[in-house]
Amino acid sequence: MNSLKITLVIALTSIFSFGALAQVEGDKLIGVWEPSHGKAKVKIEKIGNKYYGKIVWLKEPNDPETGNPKVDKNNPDESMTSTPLRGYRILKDFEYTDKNTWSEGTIYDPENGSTYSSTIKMKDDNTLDIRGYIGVSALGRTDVWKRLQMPSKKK
Amino acid sequence: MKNIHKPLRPLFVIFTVVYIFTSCEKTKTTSAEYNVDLNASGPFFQGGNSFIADFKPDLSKISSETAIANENLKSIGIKKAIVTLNPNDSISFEMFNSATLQLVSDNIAMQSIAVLNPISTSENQIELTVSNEVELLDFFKEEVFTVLLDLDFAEDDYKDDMNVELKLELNIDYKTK
Repeated sequence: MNSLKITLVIALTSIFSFGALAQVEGDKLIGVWEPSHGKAKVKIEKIGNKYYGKIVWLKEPNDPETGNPKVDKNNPDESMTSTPLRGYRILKDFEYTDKNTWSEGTIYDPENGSTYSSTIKMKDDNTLDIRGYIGVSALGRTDVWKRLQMPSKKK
Repeated sequence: MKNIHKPLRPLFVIFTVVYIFTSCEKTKTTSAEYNVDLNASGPFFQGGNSFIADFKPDLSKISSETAIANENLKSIGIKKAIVTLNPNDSISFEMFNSATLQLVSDNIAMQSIAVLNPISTSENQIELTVSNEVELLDFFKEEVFTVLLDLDFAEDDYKDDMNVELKLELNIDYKTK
């Protein structure tokens, strides 16, 4: 009977430890990242149990045609085309699966107003492979994002 | 009926019955109002800061008031979204550039439902432009969902906490006979 109790305790402890570990692993995605085109910086944060990335910096923050801050003018929902691009969540609803992979999310391209299914794979602590695709993952494109390195404080 | 091939007759009858049944249904529209308190912890930095609340939708409240059975609800759209600053904070909307309202839950992807950009008022209340296309019915079938208001701060603000009130007015379409 005692051995059964011990086995049960070990099993429960393992389950909770694994859950906590998965959460810590998933949170490695949190930070500020730069896509390969260098036109934007995206801050990834956690809301509930999912991960979201919003634009926090734009190389060209103003629309050259209007001189005003850029808005999401290609949004397929016309009533939402005045949404500012700075602060826009282009990565949505990513869930940590395992092996440094976040899936079930979407990536939005403000340049054409299209949303793609997406998977994120962390190659190393400072490099992400972000794959966007329609339907099948094999039919897509991968972009490499780099973590923004914060300047170290001088002592 | 004579012209219909024998094996297809039952299908034809079923189709006809379903067609007659559904064509007798009518759609009516009613409205409902919800107030949500959204909170954010400071300090607040220039740019977007999120005000968040978990919201437990009370679909039965809508149903009992208007005698709509849940299964007869067809769609829920947004009619108005009004954000009011806490009068105790002694601030106005002059300190914000824009506001974007979103909903998200564990089972439903995040959706933007209303926006105001730019904000050009010194009052403590704004009405956002709501999406004409958004469908909220699935959110109201969830046990809980998250309401997320992004306010774009024009400058840093070192308050500890802030809260705002969101008034949501919804259009509800439901089936009736």
